[in-house]
Formats: sequence, structure tokens, C-alpha cells
Amino acid sequence: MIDIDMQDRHSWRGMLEMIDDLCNGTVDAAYSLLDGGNIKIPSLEVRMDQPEIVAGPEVERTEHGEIHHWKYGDVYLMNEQGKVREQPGEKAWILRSQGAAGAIYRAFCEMVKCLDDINLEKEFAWCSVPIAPVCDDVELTKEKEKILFPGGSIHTIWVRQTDEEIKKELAYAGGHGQIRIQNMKTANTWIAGNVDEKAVHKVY
Amino acid sequence: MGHYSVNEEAAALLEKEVLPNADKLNISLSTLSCGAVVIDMGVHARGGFRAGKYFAEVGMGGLGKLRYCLLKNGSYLVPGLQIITDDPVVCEMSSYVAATLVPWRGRSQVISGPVRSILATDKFAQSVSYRDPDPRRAVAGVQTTELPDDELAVSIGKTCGIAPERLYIMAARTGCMAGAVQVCARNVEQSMPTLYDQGYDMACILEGNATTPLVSVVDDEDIAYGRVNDCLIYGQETNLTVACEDEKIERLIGRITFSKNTDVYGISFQKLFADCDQNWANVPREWDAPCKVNFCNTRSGHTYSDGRINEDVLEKDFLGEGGCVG
Repeated sequence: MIDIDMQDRHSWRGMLEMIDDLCNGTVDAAYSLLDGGNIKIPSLEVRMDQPEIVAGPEVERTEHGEIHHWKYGDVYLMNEQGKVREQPGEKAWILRSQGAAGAIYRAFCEMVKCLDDINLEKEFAWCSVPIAPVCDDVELTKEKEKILFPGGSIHTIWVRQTDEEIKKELAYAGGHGQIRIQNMKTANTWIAGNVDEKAVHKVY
Repeated sequence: MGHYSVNEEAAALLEKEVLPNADKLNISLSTLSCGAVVIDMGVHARGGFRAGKYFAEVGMGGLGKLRYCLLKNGSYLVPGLQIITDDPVVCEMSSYVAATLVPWRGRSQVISGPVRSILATDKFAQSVSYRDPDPRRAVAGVQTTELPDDELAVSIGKTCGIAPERLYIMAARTGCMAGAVQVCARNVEQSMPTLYDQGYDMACILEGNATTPLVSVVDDEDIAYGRVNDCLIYGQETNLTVACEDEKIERLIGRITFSKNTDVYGISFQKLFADCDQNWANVPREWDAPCKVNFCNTRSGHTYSDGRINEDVLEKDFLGEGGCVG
């Protein structure tokens, strides 16, 4: 069990390692800054070499939070007073929902959700999702994420399909910010959604 | 301080981080009968972001770092990359520059990487005093649609002065993720030979960093080749820290970047290359130029800039015939 920020404090660095492990060591994960306005907003960027292996977790709710069962490990997302009573799986991480690690984790989950929602065979993906400012009240943080994720996320996905299949898929892909599908077969890029800088900056 | 071996560093990086993780990097390995090890990062292999990053960092002999970043181009934040190096002269001129020609299958194959520094047979490797005379292993990079074979390995060995069984060869075509990355990573590189051609003293260059947009990764080799070169001639921006008299920089301004080619500026490289029968021998030397170079002179504290980014060409390459849906 790797303690990200219950007792220990290695949220930012620890989360990058956790994300890489959850993707079986196939990603390049880093932090960046979304530039614009007078505030630079931190973002999580994950470049995936095998996006097909990254699928959303099964979620189990417990008295002290949630357990997310991913293909390559379990994430214990706990409330402030949470304790792990369950026997953790072979590879497991524990983190607080309220902390920076929780915010980074939700940004990562947003990427995975976006990829899950795009029903195309993916070669590579580059996802960038803003990280919300952390509040003591996690519900307030989540409210901010409801604006930040669709307003500031940029997902670039490389596929080999027909352009028609891509356009059809993108017509139904809303709520994840800007999605750009680059078709390696036809050399065309198709885009849905926009980055809403004004909305994003209001959150900060 | 002991001798820094670009080949030893490159081989160590391969042996520690690349070869043991072949599956996770989507690359494949094979040992030729001559003993050379071929690392397919994108000829038949799928490769990816991290394979491309390693291709570049290994190719720079451990003297450069690549990180990915989003870059503003018009109304889009497009994928891009940044290279930083504390020793651009050895990193690029002795190592990463694609300049050594070796015979293969009845033609000349360009190779890059630290193996060039053993004998320094091309003029850019010769432009600096650094040599890496007797490395344990040596590394070459090849941009190719065909996997390297015994003929190529022996040819590299003979030209560069290394036994083929001590050679690693990284290979990727242009039309794949790793191939596009390793070409776009030639941003600081793109500036150095041009400066050398203009007679600028390489010893004056202290540090370098540069960005390049990575606007397009496509299967079609001709389109891919055109677009990655557009990224360099229309999108790359290099910052060089130099130490010299200001006059030595001032006389370069207007003479080093691609925008000096006013008759062809704005035309896609795919078209330009097609007009040259897709043969580098027919490409004017002044077309192989950086997009934008900024000089920060430590002697005077002055900064000079030459060249300009062409967002229109890059946006066309990014979108192709695509665009917004809905």
C-alpha cells in the first residue's frame, strides 16, 4: 500500500508515479500550465502509448470513501478521517479525496472517462486536464471541476479510421472540453468542442 | 574530469531504460547475424511518445533532454516538444545531426547519433574538436522505411569506425509517432549547421533550448516527411546562449533562418521537396534552415532574433482537410 497523502506528503510527485503504474508503465505523465489571462492554471498532462489498456475502474463505495479497482491496481480514495479496513490488493495506493492528490486523481479520471466515451480504436492519446484549486470542502472543489474539466481540457487522439466514422463519433462527444482526433490514415484532424478560457479563469 | 563518451552514455540509456521495457514502449529488438542490435521504434513497430523521446535523448548522447509541451499556434494549443542542452555543440554537431552518409542498397543512407563522433567523417562532426575514439558500444539513428540489415550495420561500422557487433541501431520511419518526434526534436540541431555554414565559431555557443510544434503524425510517408519538415522550417524556435562580440551575431541576422528564402517562404515543404524530385541532393542548402533563432549574448547582455513562425502553414498541416465538427 502506497500512502500518497494520508500520513505521508508526496501528492504531486507520488501521483505521477501512481498514474504511470495504473497505465502499466506506458505513459509519459507530467504537469503543465494552461496559459491565459493573468493566472497560469496547473494541469495534468498524460501521453498514452497504449490507450487501449487504460479503462475506467470499478468503483466500490465504503464507509470511509471509495475503492477504485483498476486493471493494474486499487486506489483507496478516502475522506479525511478514513481508515483502510479492507485487505488491500497486490498494488494499492491510498489518498485523501480532499487533498491535491484527490484533485489530480479526478483530473486523471476525467481523461480516462473521455477516452472511454470516444468509441474509436486509439493509437495514441495526449490528454491535458486542468487541476482544480483544492478546498477544505471537497464538494466545493468538485463544483469547480464541473466547470474546469469541460472548459479547459484538451484531448488529442490519434486513430486510423475513416473520416466519416470520426465525424460521426465526435458529433456525440460533448462535455470533455476540446477533443481533436488526428486520423493517421487520411492526414486530417477533426475537432469537437472549445476551450472556454473565461469560464476556466473564473473558477480560479 | 574524465572523457565524456556520448556513445557510452547513449548505450547506457538504451540498456537501462529502453531495452528492458520494449513491450511498454511498443518497440521491437532484433540481433543481426553481424551482431548489431536493431531497435525498431517505428518501422514496423508501433512506437510512441516515449520511444520518440528516447530516440532523441539517446541520439543526443545523453547531452540533451526532451519534454513534451502544448504550444500556441493561432487559436489552437497544439502538441509540441522542447529540447534543452547544456552542450549543444557536442550534443548536436558531434552526435544528433543527421549528416553521415553510408552506402546501403546502392544508395546513400543518412545516419545520425553518437556513432558519428568516433571518426567524425562528415563536415559537421569535423567542425568540433570532440571525438569519442573507443567506446564499448556505439549508437546510430536511422530514419528509414526499411529495417536496418547486416549490409547497413557493416556499412555504418566501416564508415564510422566501430565493429558491427558493438553497434546499436535505432530505426523509425517518418510516418509514425516516434519518427515524427525524433525529427521535430532536431530543433537546436537545425540551427547549428546553418551557423557553421555562415562561419560562426561553434566555440561561442554555450547552451541551447528550442521548441517545435508536432502538428501532425500520419502514415503516408510523403505527407509525414513534408509536415515534420514544415514544423522545423516554419515552427521551430531556438534560443542559444552565446559569448562573442555583438557584431558576430549582427552579421548573421537575415541570413540564417528559412524566411531568408523569400521566393519560397510559405510553401509547404512537401511541395518544395516534390519540386526537387524528393531528392535531398537537389534541395538548395539554404532551405535546410531553422525557422527562428534567438541569441542571448552573455558578453553584452543583448538579445537578437532572426526568423518568424508561420502559423498558417502549421495550421494547415494540423488540420489537413479536417476542421471543426458540429
